[in-house]
Formats: sequence, structure tokens, C-alpha cells
Amino acid sequence: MDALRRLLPECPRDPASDTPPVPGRRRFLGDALAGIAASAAPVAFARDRLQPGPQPGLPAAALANSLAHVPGAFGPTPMTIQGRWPAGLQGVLYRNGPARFVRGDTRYRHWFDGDGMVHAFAMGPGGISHRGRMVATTRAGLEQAAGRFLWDGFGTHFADARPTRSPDTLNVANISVLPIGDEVMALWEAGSAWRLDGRSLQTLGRKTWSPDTDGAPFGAHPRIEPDGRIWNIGYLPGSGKLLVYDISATGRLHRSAMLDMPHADMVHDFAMSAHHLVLVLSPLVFERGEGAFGDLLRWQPQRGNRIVLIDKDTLTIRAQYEGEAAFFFHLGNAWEDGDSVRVQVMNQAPYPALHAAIGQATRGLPITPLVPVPASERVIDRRRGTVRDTVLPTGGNEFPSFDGRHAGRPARRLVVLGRSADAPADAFGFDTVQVLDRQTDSVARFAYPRGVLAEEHLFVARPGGRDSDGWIVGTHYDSRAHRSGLSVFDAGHVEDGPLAQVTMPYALPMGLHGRFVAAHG
Amino acid sequence: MKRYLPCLVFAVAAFAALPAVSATLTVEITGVTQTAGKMMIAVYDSEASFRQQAVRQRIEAPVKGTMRIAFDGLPAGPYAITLFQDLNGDGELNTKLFGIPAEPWGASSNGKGSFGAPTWEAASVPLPAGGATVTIGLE
Repeated sequence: MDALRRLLPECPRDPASDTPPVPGRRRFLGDALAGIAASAAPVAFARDRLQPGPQPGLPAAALANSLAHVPGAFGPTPMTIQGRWPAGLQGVLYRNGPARFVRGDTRYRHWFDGDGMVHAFAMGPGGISHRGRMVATTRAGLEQAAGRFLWDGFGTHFADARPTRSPDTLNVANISVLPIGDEVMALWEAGSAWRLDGRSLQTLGRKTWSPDTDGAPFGAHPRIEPDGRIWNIGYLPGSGKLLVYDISATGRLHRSAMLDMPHADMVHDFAMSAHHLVLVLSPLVFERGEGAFGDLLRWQPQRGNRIVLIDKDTLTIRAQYEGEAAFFFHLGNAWEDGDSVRVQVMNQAPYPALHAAIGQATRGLPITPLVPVPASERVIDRRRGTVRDTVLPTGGNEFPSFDGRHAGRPARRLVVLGRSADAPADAFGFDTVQVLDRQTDSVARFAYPRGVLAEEHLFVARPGGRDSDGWIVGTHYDSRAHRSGLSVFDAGHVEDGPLAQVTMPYALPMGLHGRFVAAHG
Repeated sequence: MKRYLPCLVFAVAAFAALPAVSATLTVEITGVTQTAGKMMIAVYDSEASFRQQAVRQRIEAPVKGTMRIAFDGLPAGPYAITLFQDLNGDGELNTKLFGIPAEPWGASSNGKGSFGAPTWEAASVPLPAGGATVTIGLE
């Protein structure tokens, strides 16, 4: 049977794929268990599909299709591995993402609204299995009982929505995960973390770090030091303040501090260098009124971006700088460089255009095409008090990941998602995995076949390996087959395509962020 | 949030000066889960006095589930209601970081703007001559 059709059973027959294999490439044989020597060839995936000939399209409704008819839970599902799973890559990939969008007659209209579902992909000597469970937040329980959504979402306003009285009122725990010990926490933008059992993904309860911070916003992108120490921020739109958390590797709150931060109405992410927490504040101003939070953020580019350096020792603001306005969700790594601090910024189209496009894509509509904006490295010269930007050669990108053993230090590689130049402009999503190598100043790329959307791809260190030596692990949604999959690449050779791949017997709702927990710590 | 201890003399004097038309404002509190402490309810009749000087206030023993408190003899017009359950008996709505209330609380709402501390614009509801019930969910 044609190897390609075994991978993609529902694809239309493409005469180009019937061409004989390239001489020298071994035909692979799928098998259920990693380590069987017969199937050592890279997975025959993208390279074959890049043959000339008609390509299936990427429908504008791809994201929306993945979000439709999501079951309440998945698995545990053992899965078949194609190719050879690296023997040293064992542990659990946790992911989180919005999953429930309909209750009764009420329907969310923005990707970021859906109730969170956490996934665990357990990778071990016996193979790979998948499990997914909804996070049983307070809000989800009340709305389940009522049979409808009772409050607004980030991007959806209901005329009869109940008022938002506290950060946790809206908390759907759907953005990211923070595994600590036997638990994994589901994180949200500006509310409490929710605790799940790390194995069963059963919800255990709302996380309280201390009586003082109980119910305070806990951000979705904590930064973790190489030694495991955890930093996080919490913000409340319109408050003029920012909360900083300093948490031990075992999950004990060591300190918290409230800082004056008048421009912090939407701070999704922050970065960490050896001595500083780096806040880059986009000019988004929250305007109280009737509507969903995401619609009440006013984009004011004339204000520029404000960069704030927080001293990690004292948890006080060391200095502030002004830079060019740019909207972004995510920052990459940051590091000290002599008198300067460098931070990688995943710039995006201006907020109003991107916010509208995500709403269109969620509803299955073609999006108004987004201007691609390149990522940049911002150099904050502390001596001169200036900010200088260098464009990164990766083009427009999202979902940055790097070697956590070098977090806050100049890690060699940055993994980011991108879009191929010929991806249809009216379809939202990413299809390319890029690896920026700062040492060689080069970018390696792997493009998924047309019709496949990539989700976050994480760098995973090879145990005992050097800086940025290891693998890249990430999921994707195949809109043609309506199935999701998981791939692993060599971080040094992403252009060779997946070393191994798993195709799930179902589609997962396209999700957001995850973390990998290596076996044995 | 300000102390819920308006000057009773002021409130009585203000009431005595009002016209003869009077309506009953019934405040229905839902979602009461604890019986500790006291339910403190304050009624305001203008933006200028909102959360500063209540025209009526009541202190009640909490009842699990739903409570109904009637304020009689009010002239028709807009009113806003704020309330909290004073669990520790200090007369104040205690707050945590970011001013997030540490005790259960609620406010009337007309749907205009729904984030954080209530404003007169978002909390004022009309009391017609025939009276009205305002339902407030305790958070």
C-alpha cells in the first residue's frame, strides 16, 4: 500500500504521489512500538507532498472545523507511531487550549473564549498515548448547570451576560499549563491557576499560592529558570498595577510584589534575563464599557511600546524605556549582553486587525488578510537609555520556544511557527516550523503539506546534550482528513521533516500552549 | 469600598424632604452560601452620592440561598445598590491585592459595562412608582 496513503487515508488521490520513491530513501514501515529497527527512515510526509501538481487547499474554515463538535473528553488512546521515536524522548507533553464553544443556544465567536481542555501525550517505552480532559472551573460548572454561557468571553459579548465581578468570574483556564510535581496546572490570562492531577487530568481545585494572592490574576506564561525557579506576573486591566510572583521549583510562593505599572492593561507574556524580568508593554488601553474585554482594548500606536526592567533581586522597577509601537502576544528569550538586555519579540499585525481575523477564523469565515510583520530582537542599551530593533530573519512568526536550560541566557536556537509564502491569505494559521540558529545566523524550515495547520512546537532537550541540542515536538491539525497528529523532529535538522509521527484517530480542537515534562524529572 | 455607616440623621432628613409618592424597592440577593457575619446593603439615589452617602442602608442576618429585603417609601427614580457580607464584622468590605474583594459582594447592574467595581452608570436601575425587584447575585 502506498506509504503516503496510509498516513493520509482520506486525501484525494494525487497522481504526483504515485511517483516512485527518490532513490536512496528507504520506504518506511509503520509499527506500534518505538525501537524496532526496520523503520529507520524519516517519515515520508512533506517532501512527497511537495511534488508539483494540484495541491489540496487550506480552507478558511480549517480552524473552525477543528473547534466544531468537540467531545467532552478524549482517551486514554494508545496510538501508532510511524517512523522511529527517539529512544531518549520520554515523558509527557501537556497542552491546553480552548475546547468548548457551544452551550444550548449560546455560542462563542472567538477562539480564545472556549472552556479549556488539557491534553497529555505520554511517551514511553510502550508507545504513545493521548488523553484530554476539560478543566472543571467554577465558571464551567455554573454554565453547565444553566445550560448556557452566563458571562462574556474574551471576544464574545452576550446582551444578557452577567457582570464580571472578579478576575476569576471569566476564567476558562484555557491558555497554557504549568506542571509541578504530580500536578499540572491549567493557566489563564488573568485569573487563578487550576490544579489537575498530572496523570488522570482530573480537576483538583483552584490554586491558591498564599492568602494574600488568593484569587489574584496569575498569568499564562510563567518563566522558568534553568534551576526550576518560577517567575510570573498578574495584571488587572485598568488597575495601573502589576503583580509579580517569585515561586520555588517545588511550587512554594517565596515572594510577591505589587508594582506601579500604568500601561499594563493587557500583558499576555513577559521575558526573563539573568538579572531582570523584562516587560514589553504594547499601547493597548482598556476602556470600560459594554462589550467583551477583547473588544474594549483600544490600540493607540502613537504611545509606542514601553519596556520595563524589573530587578529580580529587589522586585523593583530598575528602569523604563520607550520604543516603537508593535503589537505582539509572545516574547522569546531574553538575556544580558554587557550593558544591554536583549529580548526576542514575536511582532504581529496591529491588534485590531489580528483580533478581528481570529474572530472571523473562529466563525469559519475567510479572514481579512493580515500584513506579515517580522519578529525582532530589541536591544535595550541601559547605559545610553535607548532601544534598538533588529529584524529577525524568520519572518512573521508565533509560538516561540527555546532550550529551557538556557532560559535567560543566550540560547542558540529559537523555534517559531511561520507561514509559507503561498499559504492562502484568507485562511488563518501557521504551517511552517522554523528554527533560528543564532550561532550560524541561519533559519531552517519545515513546511507541513497544504491543508495542515501547525500548533505550537516545543524544543525538548536531549538529556546531557549541549545548548539547543535535542528535538522539536509539536501537534498539528490536518484539515483534509480532520485528524490531529504529533511529530518529532531533530532540532538541528528540522528541514529533514519528522523523525516520527503519530496520527490520532480523531481531531483535536486547535490549541495554544504546552510544556514537556521529561521522564525522571 | 467605603464604610457602610451613613449618618442616620442625614438619611432621615433627606427622606423627610421627599415628595409624597413612594415606592418599594425590593432587593433580592441570590447565591448566599454562608450564614456568618452580616449582610450589609446600601441604596444610593444619585451619581454624586454613589458609594459615598447611602439614602438607605440595612444590616441583616444572612440566610442561605435567596434573601429579600424591602425598602419602602422611596420616590420613583434611579437607584443603585451595593452590598457585601461582612464575614469578620469589621464593617468594611475587606479587599485583597488589586482591590479584589475578600468577602462576598454584589451590586445592581443594568448591563452597561461590567468589569470590576461598579459605577453609577453601570449600576443604576429605575424604580417606577409601582415598585420593582432588583436581583443581585452574590459573588
